[in-house]
Amino acid sequence: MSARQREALAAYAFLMPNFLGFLAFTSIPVVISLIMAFSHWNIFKPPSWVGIENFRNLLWFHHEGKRIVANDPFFWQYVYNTVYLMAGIPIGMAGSLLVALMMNQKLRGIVVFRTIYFLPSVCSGVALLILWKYLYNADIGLINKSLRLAGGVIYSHPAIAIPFTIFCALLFGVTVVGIIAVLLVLVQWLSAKIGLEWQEGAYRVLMVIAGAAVFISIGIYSRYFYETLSSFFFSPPDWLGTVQWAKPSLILMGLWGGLGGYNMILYLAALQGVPTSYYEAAEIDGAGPWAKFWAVTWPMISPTTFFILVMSIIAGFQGGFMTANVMTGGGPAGSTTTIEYYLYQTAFEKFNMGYASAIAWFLFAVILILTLITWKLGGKVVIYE
Amino acid sequence: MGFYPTLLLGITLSYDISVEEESRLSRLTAFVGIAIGAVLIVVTGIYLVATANPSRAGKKVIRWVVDPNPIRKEQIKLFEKRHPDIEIINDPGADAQRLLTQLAGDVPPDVMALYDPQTIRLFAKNDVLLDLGPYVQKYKIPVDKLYPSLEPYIKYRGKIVGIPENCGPYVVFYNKKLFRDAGIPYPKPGWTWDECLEAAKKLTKYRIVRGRKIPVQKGIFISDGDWWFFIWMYGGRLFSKDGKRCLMDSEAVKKGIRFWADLRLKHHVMPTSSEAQSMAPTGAWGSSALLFRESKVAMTVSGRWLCIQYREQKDLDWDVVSMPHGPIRFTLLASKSYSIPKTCRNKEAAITFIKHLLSKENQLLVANYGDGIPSVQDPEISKAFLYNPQYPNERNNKLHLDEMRYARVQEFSPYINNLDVSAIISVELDKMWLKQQTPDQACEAIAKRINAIIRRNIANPNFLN
Amino acid sequence: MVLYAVLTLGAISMLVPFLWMISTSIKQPDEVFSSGGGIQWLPEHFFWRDTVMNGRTIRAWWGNYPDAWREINFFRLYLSSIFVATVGTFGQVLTSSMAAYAFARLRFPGRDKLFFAYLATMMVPGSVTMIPVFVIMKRLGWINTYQALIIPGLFSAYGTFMLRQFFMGLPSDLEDAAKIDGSGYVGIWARVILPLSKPALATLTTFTFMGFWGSYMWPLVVTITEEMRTLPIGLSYFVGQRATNYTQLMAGSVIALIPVLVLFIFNQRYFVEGIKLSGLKQ
Repeated sequence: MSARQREALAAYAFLMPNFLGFLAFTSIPVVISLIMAFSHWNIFKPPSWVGIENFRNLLWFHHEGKRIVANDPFFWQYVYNTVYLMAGIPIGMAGSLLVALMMNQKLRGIVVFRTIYFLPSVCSGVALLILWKYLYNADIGLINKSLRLAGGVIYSHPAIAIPFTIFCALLFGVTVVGIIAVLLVLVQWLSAKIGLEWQEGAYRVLMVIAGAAVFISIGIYSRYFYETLSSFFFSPPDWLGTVQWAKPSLILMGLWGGLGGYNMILYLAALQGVPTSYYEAAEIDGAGPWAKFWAVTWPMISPTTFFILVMSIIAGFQGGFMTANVMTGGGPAGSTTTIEYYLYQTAFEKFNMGYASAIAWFLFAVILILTLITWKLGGKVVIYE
Repeated sequence: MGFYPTLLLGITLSYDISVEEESRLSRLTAFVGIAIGAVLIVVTGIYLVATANPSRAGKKVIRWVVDPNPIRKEQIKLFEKRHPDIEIINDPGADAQRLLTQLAGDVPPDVMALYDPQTIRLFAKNDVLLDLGPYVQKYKIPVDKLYPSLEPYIKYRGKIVGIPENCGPYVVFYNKKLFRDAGIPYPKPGWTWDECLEAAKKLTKYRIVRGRKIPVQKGIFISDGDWWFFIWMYGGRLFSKDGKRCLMDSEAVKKGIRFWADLRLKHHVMPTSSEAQSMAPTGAWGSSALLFRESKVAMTVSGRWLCIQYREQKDLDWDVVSMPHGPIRFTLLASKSYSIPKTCRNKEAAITFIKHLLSKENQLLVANYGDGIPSVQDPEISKAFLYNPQYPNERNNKLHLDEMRYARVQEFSPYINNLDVSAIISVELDKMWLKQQTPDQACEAIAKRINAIIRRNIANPNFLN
Repeated sequence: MVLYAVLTLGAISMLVPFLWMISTSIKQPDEVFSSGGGIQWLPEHFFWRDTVMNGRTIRAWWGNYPDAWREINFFRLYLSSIFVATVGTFGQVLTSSMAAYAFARLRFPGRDKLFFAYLATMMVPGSVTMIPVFVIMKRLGWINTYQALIIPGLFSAYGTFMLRQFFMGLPSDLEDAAKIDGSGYVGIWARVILPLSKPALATLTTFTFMGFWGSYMWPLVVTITEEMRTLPIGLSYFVGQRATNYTQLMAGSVIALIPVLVLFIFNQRYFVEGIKLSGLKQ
């Protein structure tokens, strides 16, 4: 037997227990659900093949008089909700990485901190939802109470109010410029992939233009800015009760929970895999902490980053069920209902298993495409030894 | 091959490597610890498997899937005393996913609770439920004694598919003390919406805190999901008689919805959801009952079951009165049914149990617990129900019985699923409450959307299952 | 120093839910949601034994715990959950680490395609695959048995994926050294990869345990008698149709989270084991 063959045989042996279970309990049901997506099956009668009708009813449009109307009147709103709620993923990942870096320090009592930060993941989900509902309450919730208190203090004297507004305006402007900067970097990198190289200094020029535009417009609208800000403090919004703020509130809640949770632990474990010798080498080359991070840490934990990103995408598309059910009841005007809830309803309360499978496989297709994009784009970034 | 044994050896050896830097003593203790742990797990496993099926020799066991209210244990005890050869397991998992998966996989419960008429219809249409008709005579099940208005919970196309053991016509709970404090006489059964509105206005109080008007007390609370009262208020209907059209945009319905909107947005006698939250923060499972318990709201609308919670509040002086009426007098009826799946393995035992649920003792047990009123129209039961010595100050039980005269079950159409109806109505009404559209616009939007779905379902019956 | 301050600030917010759970579990039922705004942290009466006051019996402050324990036969639920979670975790970590090693380090035909298939199955929402798996269980006669609770959970694409990523990030020098020393694949796996992966293994152990421990829907679907139920199902008993028994629910939840917390604390020292390159001469 050649070495290659021995290696393959060993691989099969290692794989076998896992693979058997995979075959029996995962792949067969998945294939069945794929077939169901092309059938009409109400669970109690045998399924009948309908081809792509389920997908057409789910995703396609038809004419109604002069207008073009979606075939499924509910689905697209839920898709919008679900995607919106996933907006926090990059911030969440960055946050967990930050916390993991902090937790990695050899401080005394760091074990206590790690445990405390992990507590929310361990606590009863219902308890968390109840508490956040309290927090977000428009009249007696802690957030609004603090905002009103701060507003009372700040806006009682123009001497405090004006510098504060300027400070907020600057903060706002810097954030917007920062976002534009990141977007431009992304665009530049993407175009480099396609083959369009940017001119030297083009980036810098664009940034200057953007920065000027942002700050000038802030200046022009300064009065409007001041008024909006003060009314925000005096009568803070009803977080869970208005359509605009319901989803951002949920995103914030998710971010907080994720800070000490699974992703942080994963990053912590990944950080252990970076040999200290690499750091020492970087230091010898004269790198400061920022450079050390980008040159050593970031590439070495990139496999984990890829993992967390893919898992977050999967979880994001398949999530939001408990929150909608227990905390917001689907939200003001259906703004916090997600696809997963619709899927559950369709399958188990309307007995429409075929249609539900179609929804599931649509989700699958979307996640697959996103993962492939991440894989291909990240191909150069994810480094394996 | 020798692969797997080598693997096992490898696992133990790997442990060897990882602790090679620690002292021999700690290695020994670690080994011993792991060995003890393994033994414990094995012992636990053996114990669990051995005791997993306590012998129930000579007894038939039936599984009753219903919510885990404290009263269920009593009900089971009562039944098992009478029928010592049958044992009942109270299985609290009535979750839709579970029920369906078990039914689909042929592991059916013996008696299951279904909570709304359309689910019952859906199950019955798909031939999942046992037709109790042939058994009525043999087991003497008093189906004919059940209230006629409960029919949607009982029959489907002439077959008897469900047996409700209790029901609850909606009534108004009012806070006697708040009425006294405001100098308003207690409401009398048969009172009108105008009278109710007048009282509610007097019962709404505010307090000024730092320039903001904060509600301290509101007149009335009606849940956002109870739209039936206002759809029917002026004689309107949601669906046409054949169920093929939605009549939400008829003038009668619009008038009712306008009235409802005014309660909250114009007269301010009904709290908005955030006002409700701030007066009495509700938990995750919105216990709107809390508002009434805390005397923050003078009147609330629900079936009798909330008295279970109100009884806990010892300083609450409450009573019930009929729903206020407009041109027509009616109220909403809610109930639940127990059904037996066709594939049940213990039909006789299950039917015996269901019959028992309609017996006088069981009916009184459930009703006295506070969960609605007996569903059986029997003079003996009704008389016993009138006065419960445990709760002597509940003198108005008769009202609930009287209200059955006017009670109606919610409407549904065979051409659209109730869940879609709820989704559309609640979203459009939410927009109305958020002042994004007027009541009339909401009604028109609802009618348009529901009609579109009905048209789609009629053209493609696959959606109706 | 600054780090401590920042961490402490965050830590306080992280502690709040846990403290609320404990606080609710020592209150009387009508003190859970107080009116007027704000969370009532301490119960009004703090008695060590049941006391009668104004005609009402006020339970001792620790009363909810034994009540919850008795109400749902906690002992058996606990034992069941521990058994299922321990065996399941051990099995899953074992099979996942074996498969991950094959995917990460060994070459065989169809490796990447197969791995992709693993990945792909995770992208299908579990709701639609539940019925087929249930039917398989029924055909095998495993309904209401421990096999049904444990075995489907032994194979996780998640675990395999995670460990594969981690294994691929390990420097290959040690493995090459071991190969040169004549070690077989099992030896490399057991003596090189596993010890180096303690953080990842500890992480997977914790996650898998938590997954089994908190799993609600699958055990619910697959069990039909009281004896076979696991802890989350037992806790759902406190949520009735008409009212939720918050005090006992929280007491039960506090009792239920102890093993997970213990496991997490125990695993702490493995989370931060650096790579011991002691066997390597640089």
